[in-house]
Amino acid sequence: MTADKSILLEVQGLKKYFPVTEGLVFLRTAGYVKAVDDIDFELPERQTLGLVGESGCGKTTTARVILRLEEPTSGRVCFQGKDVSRLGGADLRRYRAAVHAVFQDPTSSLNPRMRVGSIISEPLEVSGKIPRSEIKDRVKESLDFVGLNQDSAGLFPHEFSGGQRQRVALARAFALRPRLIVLDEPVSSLDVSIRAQILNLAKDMQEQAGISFLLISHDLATVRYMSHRIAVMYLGKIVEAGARDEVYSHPLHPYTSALLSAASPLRPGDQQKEVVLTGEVSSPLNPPSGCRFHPRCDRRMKSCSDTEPQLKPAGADHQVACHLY
Amino acid sequence: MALDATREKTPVANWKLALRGVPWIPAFVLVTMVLVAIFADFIAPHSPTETSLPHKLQPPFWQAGGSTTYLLGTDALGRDVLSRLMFGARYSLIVSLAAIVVGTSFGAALGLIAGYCGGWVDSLIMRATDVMLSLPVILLALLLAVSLGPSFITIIIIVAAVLWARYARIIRGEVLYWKTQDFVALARVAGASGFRIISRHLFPNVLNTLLVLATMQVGWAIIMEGSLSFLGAGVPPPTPSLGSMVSDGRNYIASAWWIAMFPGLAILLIVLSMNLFGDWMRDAFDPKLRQM
Amino acid sequence: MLLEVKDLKTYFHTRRGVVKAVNGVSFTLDAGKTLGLVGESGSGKSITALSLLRLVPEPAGRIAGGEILLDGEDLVKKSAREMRRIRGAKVSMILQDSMMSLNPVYTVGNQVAESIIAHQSIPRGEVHSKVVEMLRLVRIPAPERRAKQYPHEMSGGMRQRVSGAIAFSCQPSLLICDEPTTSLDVTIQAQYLKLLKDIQRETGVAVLFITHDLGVVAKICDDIAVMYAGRIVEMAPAMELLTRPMHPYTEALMKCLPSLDKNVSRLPSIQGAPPTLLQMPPGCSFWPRCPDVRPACKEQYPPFIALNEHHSASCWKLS
Ligand SMILES: Nc1ncnc2c1ncn2[C@@H]1O[C@H](COP(=O)(O)OP(=O)(O)O)[C@@H](O)[C@H]1O
Ligand SMILES: Nc1ncnc2c1ncn2[C@@H]1O[C@H](COP(=O)(O)OP(=O)(O)O)[C@@H](O)[C@H]1O
Ligand code: SF4
Ligand SMILES: [Mg+2]
Ligand SMILES: [Mg+2]
Repeated sequence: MTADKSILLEVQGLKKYFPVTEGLVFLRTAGYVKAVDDIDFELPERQTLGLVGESGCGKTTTARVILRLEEPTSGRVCFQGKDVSRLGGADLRRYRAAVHAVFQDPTSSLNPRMRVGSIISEPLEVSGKIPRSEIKDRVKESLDFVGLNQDSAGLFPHEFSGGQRQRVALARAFALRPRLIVLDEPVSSLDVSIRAQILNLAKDMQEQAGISFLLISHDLATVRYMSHRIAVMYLGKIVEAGARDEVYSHPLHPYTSALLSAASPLRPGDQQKEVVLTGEVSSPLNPPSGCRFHPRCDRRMKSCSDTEPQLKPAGADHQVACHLY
Repeated sequence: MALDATREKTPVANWKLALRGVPWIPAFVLVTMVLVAIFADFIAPHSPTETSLPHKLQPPFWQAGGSTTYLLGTDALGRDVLSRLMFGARYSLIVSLAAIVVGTSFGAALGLIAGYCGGWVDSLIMRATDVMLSLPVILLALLLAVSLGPSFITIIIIVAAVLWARYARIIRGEVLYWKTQDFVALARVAGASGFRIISRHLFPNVLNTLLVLATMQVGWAIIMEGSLSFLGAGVPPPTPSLGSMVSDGRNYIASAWWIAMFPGLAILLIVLSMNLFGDWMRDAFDPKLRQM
Repeated sequence: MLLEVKDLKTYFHTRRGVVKAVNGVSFTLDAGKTLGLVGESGSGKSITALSLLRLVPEPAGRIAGGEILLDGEDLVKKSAREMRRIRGAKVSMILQDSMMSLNPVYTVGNQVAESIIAHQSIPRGEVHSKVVEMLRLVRIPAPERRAKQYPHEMSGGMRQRVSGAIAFSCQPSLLICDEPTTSLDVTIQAQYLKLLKDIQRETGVAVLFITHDLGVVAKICDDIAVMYAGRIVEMAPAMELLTRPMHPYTEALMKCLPSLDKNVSRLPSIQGAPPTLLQMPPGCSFWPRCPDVRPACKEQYPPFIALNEHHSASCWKLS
């Protein structure tokens, strides 16, 4: 249970719709891509929340709203109890210093014209929290932490391999010792043999500095390794959430089961009885009525196409949005 | 951990890499031109403005009637073509470089702002460039020349005024691309200001394009100056510029071809060299091509 | 035996030196079977595939040695024209990015038809029904309607099926799949793998399946070959390789993958990164990262050692 932990980040009824326009001269709104459609979750201090789902289900959009790169259509993101979209002045500056991010593509994340030293020191300089004289030491410390040698500070990103670039991105996010780091698919673009290095590094950060992570990934195994709690998204909705062990050992939602089945490798003696979903992910522009998963669900009932299931408690620290429960 | 990133890279190796494939002939032509323009006072055999009617319309030395006193002949007022060429190169280069610096800075700044801000700021700036680009260049130039009066500064303003819109356009396009890169989003997440993002993140990434465009347009600026002089809206006489020399010589093209021909050739050489040089710069600055 | 590759070498001659992208690769593949070629990016998987089709990017790349025996005929010795015929008739390929391999300005029906006309001699009037049949083969719902769509109107999974239909329309005996499911979501990936297996059962095609994803390989392959830095370092039947990896690289690779069904508090990780092929260490290419390194490893490349009839690996530890 998380009741005894203080909540760092709270997302309440968050919606983000992108208007789709039509027409050449007179643009009119033809509809909305409901990228994120009414989600709630909370992230306790010093913990990792894993947000899983297939591409296009709204994970990155959620992250961008939390990072204030997009305005929410409705709903709130509260950080340490304060509504993030209302922050201004000194509060906003404090938020910017407390929340950082690492994205999927390390090449696009690092300015090709900046030396690694300046890349890492940017958050330190901008925050104004660190005296100029200390910035160099902080950069060194960060580089050291991620296992890059000191000469790296003078090099440009293209002189590094993909894994090393992601280390630089982590070093930058870590430099200010933020409270929260949003990790959006941090290892998806890396080679298999490098991934564990980066994941372990993030774990070390959490242990050392008590940082919370919002980990976004489509890979259930990565999420299991990293997270304390997980939330499964499908077409802009959270369909199942709870403590890690709960969700992995008793997946309730048919979508979660299918995901787990599709991802698990075959083991010796395993009769291959995997659930292979039929059909495709529907478009968030025109989500199906009722339960958004019903066109692909192998356990659907009549009510599934009519009423939308709400996220309801189903067991200790476990919630699911499905008419079966 | 072994870093392949710290593989040895001596300064010498870097220089060799940077100089590989320099187009030597254009580089030589340009350096010579610039040196001549700088030291025209010392190397010009005659004054560029002093007339000497007895010696008017003398042909170059290798033609019948020519003399080695006036190596490339004289014009209708008896001024030494070679000396005027040297001083003309000076003015033409100054005009075009100054115009390019002014036009580039102005255009790049507007392009950066338009691309970064988007919205109505972008629309406003882009409509302004539309207007600039659709006005007939020469008409605009003549209007400006008439209202400001022909002078050195006027020419620079005119050429810059025509140039900025192109830069603004192209730079805006580049910015739109770079703006979608994750490092810009991450800079915002870190709390960087709009000014910081433009100056530290966007500008350095469009600088290449800017430099290459600028070299490519030096030639164009010289031609522009020439056309203006040709129309009488250029550098006021008797100051020589390559363009005004061509324009002066056109009346004598049948009888005294050398007056227009040599400055014309000089323009051609500069433009060609600059373009070849710009091609090389574009490749040399591309980090991917440079690594091969 | 349908395909036998012996000591294949494909080199790239670059300004910075010779890149030995494929450095002595040997394997065999029987009709109706699937061989998985697994390795990290840059290990030479795609170049191996392109070499089989003799489509290595020239002039930088060249097959420097070895034999590719397809039905007993050596493809390395074939002329360009003979190769073109073989590519159409016997071997076809599915690539990762179907957006790149499909032509955006033609309908998918058109593109399947084009491939059918090129590879099968059937009367004009029957082409359309053949197209629909191919689309049905790859389980595209409402094939009549889908045939009229353009690639961009389809999802990634659908496009990848169309690529499959085109590949199968020449009735190949060997199908090379280069990361066909890498850009697909897991649930769509599972669909696609099932589809490939079904078609294989129906047609008896042999599949060379290239991927970096051990999870995928476990689902579809009979045998697995693990590539590292241009060489196959271990080869075994899928189940055996996944349960009893013998090469330190395979072993470490399996250990460093997060597990889906148990909690692990800390993953062991492989130190360092794969070598750039220009700066290959002498000896075993894995030794700078190997936990079991011994003196011999740094001096000479280890021989391929047969552990049993089907399982072999090249590592000094095993000799
Ligand atoms: N700026 C945008 N404008 C319009 N649609 C968008 C925009 N950003 C994302 N979307 C749409 O929102 C949906 C969710 O996208 P995203 O959050 O990136 O998903 P994920 O990260 O889970 O793959 C997608 O259908 C995507 O096309
Ligand atoms: N056109 C090329 N020129 C030089 N080197 C190349 C070229 N194409 C591929 N290579 C090299 O060949 C190696 C193997 O590439 P590839 O087969 O594409 O790897 P992957 O296993 O990821 O498919 C890479 O290390 C790459 O550097
Ligand atoms: S040969 Fe040596 S270095 Fe290579 S994998 Fe085996 S033990 Fe490791
Ligand atoms: Mg995403
Ligand atoms: Mg490849």
